[in-house]
Amino acid sequence: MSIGIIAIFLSVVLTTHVIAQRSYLLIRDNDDLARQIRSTKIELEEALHTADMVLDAGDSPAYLTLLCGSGDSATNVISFIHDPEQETFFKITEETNVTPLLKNCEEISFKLLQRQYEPISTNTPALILPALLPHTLSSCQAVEFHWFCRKYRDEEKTRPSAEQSGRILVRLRN
Amino acid sequence: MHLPRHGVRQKTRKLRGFSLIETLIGVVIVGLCVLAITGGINFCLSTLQSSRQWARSSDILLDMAERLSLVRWEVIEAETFPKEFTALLYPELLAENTNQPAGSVETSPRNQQLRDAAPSAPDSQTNKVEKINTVFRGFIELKPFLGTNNVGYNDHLRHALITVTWQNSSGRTLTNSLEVNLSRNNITDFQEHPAKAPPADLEWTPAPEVIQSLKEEKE
Repeated sequence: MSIGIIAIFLSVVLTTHVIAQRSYLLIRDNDDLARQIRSTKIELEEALHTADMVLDAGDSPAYLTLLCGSGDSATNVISFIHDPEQETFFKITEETNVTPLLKNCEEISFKLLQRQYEPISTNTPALILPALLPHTLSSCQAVEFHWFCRKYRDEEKTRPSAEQSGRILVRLRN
Repeated sequence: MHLPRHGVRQKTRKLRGFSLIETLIGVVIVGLCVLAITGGINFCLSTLQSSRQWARSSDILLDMAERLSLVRWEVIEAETFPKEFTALLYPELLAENTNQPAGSVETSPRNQQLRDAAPSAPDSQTNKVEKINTVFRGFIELKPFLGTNNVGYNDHLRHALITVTWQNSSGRTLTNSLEVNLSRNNITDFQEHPAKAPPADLEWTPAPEVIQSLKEEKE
């Protein structure tokens, strides 16, 4: 009888411990992802808001190269690139200065957009901006940035502990 | 042989078990502790989810403000653009009642993964997607400029109030809003301009090459 009571008591304590541990991991990982994403958005918004034009962009791997500054002094080249192997999103300045911004990032995409020159129909579901025509990178006036990040609680990457995703649109300086 | 009486009494006391009432009180205390711990954990998790929703709602508001600033002034003045919109907590996941392209339900691997993980009842799959993926409903309201009436350019300014509402896990409706001013003689007054060109002497290394060279250096 007493062994039974002790067993029940221990199982309750163990279950509570496991649940608490998993919840702690979940909260910690979510917080870590949120912190990384917040600083990445700040870096990206800062670069895009001061960008004169888009120099280069690609889908696989997703990358974006911006020319920042104004007029003739626009010589500051900043790149953002996602490395799918390392699952990391980098910021590159002056070629050698590579800063990892976002780790555990499975998907990143940049959608290059331009302003809406045609009248918008009231049947359009939202304020959708038209995509850029091919080979017109320098006409890009806004960039839609999408991310999907996931952290796992095991090394085999089978049990996710936190995942976050989002999409924002940031316009260039002009 | 003589045994001291108090020694026997002490031994007998040590062999005594707990009474039923003592056990019940112990179980109740442990139960209360477990309830308090799990309640605390639940509260933390719901706060986490709530903070995710608030952060996402801020992103949606900023996104829409940027979109508004890229629309021609004529369109803003005539208010011919749609003023309602929806957005998702997880944009790559689809709920049935959103305006996203229907074809992407099948093409999104993450959506498929979630549907595979969902219970087998047909309705529960959609419900699970919708339960996880909070739908934000937004509205844009344009008003006259709220500044002083002494200035002569009130007609050249509009005050936009962007609002998003959503329901949290307990069914409570929450609202977040952003107010921005739109100006005629600003970036909304633009003409289609020719594509720019980078300075002729500008040199840069493509980003994939930089990353590749870094990997080679490490190896």
